[in-house]
Amino acid sequence: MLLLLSAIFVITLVSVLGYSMVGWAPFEMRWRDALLGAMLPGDGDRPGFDDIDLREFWAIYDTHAPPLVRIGLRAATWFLTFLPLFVSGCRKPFFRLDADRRDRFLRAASSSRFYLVRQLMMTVKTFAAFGYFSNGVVRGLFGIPSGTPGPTTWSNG
Amino acid sequence: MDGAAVRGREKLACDVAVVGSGPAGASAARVLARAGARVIVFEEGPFARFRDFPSDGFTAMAKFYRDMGASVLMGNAPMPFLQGRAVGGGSVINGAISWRLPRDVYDEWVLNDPAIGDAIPWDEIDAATDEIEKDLNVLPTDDAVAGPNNLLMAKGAEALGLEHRRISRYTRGCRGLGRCLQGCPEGNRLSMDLTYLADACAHGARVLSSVEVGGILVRDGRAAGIVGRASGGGTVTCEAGRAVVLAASAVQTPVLLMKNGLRHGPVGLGFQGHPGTSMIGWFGDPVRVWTGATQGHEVTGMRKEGLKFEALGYDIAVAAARLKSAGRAFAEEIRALDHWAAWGACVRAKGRGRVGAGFGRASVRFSLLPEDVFRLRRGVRVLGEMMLAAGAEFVTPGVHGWHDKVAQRAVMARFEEEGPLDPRAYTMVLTHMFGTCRMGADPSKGVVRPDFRHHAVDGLYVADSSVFPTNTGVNPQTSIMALATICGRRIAAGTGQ
Ligand SMILES: Cc1cc2nc3c(=O)[nH]c(=O)nc-3n(C[C@H](O)[C@H](O)[C@H](O)COP(=O)(O)OP(=O)(O)OC[C@H]3O[C@@H](n4cnc5c(N)ncnc54)[C@H](O)[C@@H]3O)c2cc1C
Ligand code: SF4
Repeated sequence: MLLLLSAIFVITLVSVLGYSMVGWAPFEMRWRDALLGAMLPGDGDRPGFDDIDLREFWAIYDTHAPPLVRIGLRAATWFLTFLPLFVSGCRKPFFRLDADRRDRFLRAASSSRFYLVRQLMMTVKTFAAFGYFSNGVVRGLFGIPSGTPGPTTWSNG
Repeated sequence: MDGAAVRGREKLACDVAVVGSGPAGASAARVLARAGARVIVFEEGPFARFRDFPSDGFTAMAKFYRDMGASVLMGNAPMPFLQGRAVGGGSVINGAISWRLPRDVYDEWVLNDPAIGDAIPWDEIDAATDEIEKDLNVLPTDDAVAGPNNLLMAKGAEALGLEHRRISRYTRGCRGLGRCLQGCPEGNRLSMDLTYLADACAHGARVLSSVEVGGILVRDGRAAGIVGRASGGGTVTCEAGRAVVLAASAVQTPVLLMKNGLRHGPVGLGFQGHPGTSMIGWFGDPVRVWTGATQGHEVTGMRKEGLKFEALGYDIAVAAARLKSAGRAFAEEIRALDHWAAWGACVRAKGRGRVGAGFGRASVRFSLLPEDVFRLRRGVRVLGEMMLAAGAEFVTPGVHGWHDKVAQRAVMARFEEEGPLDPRAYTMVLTHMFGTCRMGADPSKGVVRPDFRHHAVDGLYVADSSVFPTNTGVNPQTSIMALATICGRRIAAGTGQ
């Protein structure tokens, strides 16, 4: 298994390094967004990652992300997209899985015994959280105004 | 002056060129400007107006952190190391925690190299620190703005009988907006751009933002100036008649020296830091870690064991990313995000690493020693027990291979014995860095002399925490400022010139 993981990772890295500095290809964006959306799904009541306007978030990413960050997110996208092919009960790329299988895969991968898998999952989760909470509407749901908030008066003694 | 506007070749002249505008560069620049020297400070990052600081963590990290906060050090536990990149350096995005250099740490330094005691007497550090505390209005966090995350830590520490206190911070009029790590939107945190750099400019100094210094000009064995690349595409050359002061941080300063072929002494070696890990816990009442004084309470009772605990306030996105789950469970946990508290343990690690300059960029290697991992395990145990004692319904240590949730103190207490010994099982971040251009009388053991002068190049000084012989076990900004102030005084007095 370790060998297999290393092989997928090396292939991923080579493909990713090749054009890390150019924008995302449309198919890659679909893979990436499938992962981010499943990482933080909506539930009718609250919006999920897929439901919010992320144009500003990706614009900031495009302007500021250093090579290391671009490589990291790209590597995570490719690797986690194809890892389910080798997982029993999945056997398809991530974007082809139904919602339940996506969820089960993510849960298992986040506590994988392989350090590399956990780190790549962490990358996806961090991006999902940063993207989600960069949105003013979402912040508003948690009582955080986009401008300057008021003073804290809470005290539990 | 803003390097974004520099498109051609800019030629400047001054007495002292300072590279880096963080606590070290600002402190040295201020003393020198006040002494009448013509000072120019060069800063790679942008100038940030405090009203422009974003409320969300992602935008703040993109704009004001080096590598968007994703610089990673490699070793037996790869972890991010965070650094500010803006006029004011780390002081613009840090927790505002102020600690005096502990006397026992200074004594260790002097024991190993008595020349340090002669060159930098304790009384001078003490007096410089008094002035800094006065200038930056360093005071314990007011309970009225502390917020639950801090107040609960006081309760937990009290229950465990651990020595604890309100954190002394450099703020004025702090309203507990919990946004220190994104940049204080009201300018209540007294960062360098608002204080020492402003004062240096009032005494004639100039600050050039968005200029990355790459070259140190050396003529006849003497530092004669710097060459930098402006973000506008131009180049800036500055002749410095008296001195060049490197204050680019314990990671970038050695890289600058190495890039310029100045590989004398243990440059880049001896890197030390304070790896930090966090504990989160679920409380019945809302905590909202993103509100209240960002870091307002600390446990100091185990400092001499190499452990310090702090309440951790941060942006809601960071709070979410720390949760253990993924997918639907993650979305579900996020709904109750306001009930989680977050505290951190900061380890005075004995391990030493190295900073390299491959392809002109910093690469850091650092591994924890077994004794550091034992200390880390103790830290996680104490954090968990303290949180449960404060009333958490359960805690999430976030350590791979151990319980995801712990509700009983007795279980948490077992962590010190049972916790994994593989450092990669822990999630850690490093924010305090030291030791990569150590001071020392012996040129084979020190890059600079105990009076901050480079051993091989006259007129070249290092003012940041690169010169610290060891890590300090406490938050370093105030100690860095005290030593850099003394460095500035030595240059002003012309010592050794
Ligand atoms: C998130 C965070 C929270 C922290 N909280 C605390 C706290 O609460 N209390 C505390 O005491 N410490 C804290 N620290 C640590 C503290 O901020 C640093 O130890 C301190 O800022 C180091 O000061 P410095 O001047 O040596 O370096 P820095 O503050 O890193 O400043 C160096 C400056 O030099 C610039 N620079 C680098 N290379 C070049 C170059 N080639 N040309 C031009 N400019 C260059 C950088 O952009 C940077 O602005 C925190 C750090 C972080 C990241
Ligand atoms: S806690 Fe808030 S008001 Fe206080 S200094 Fe930090 S950001 Fe400013």
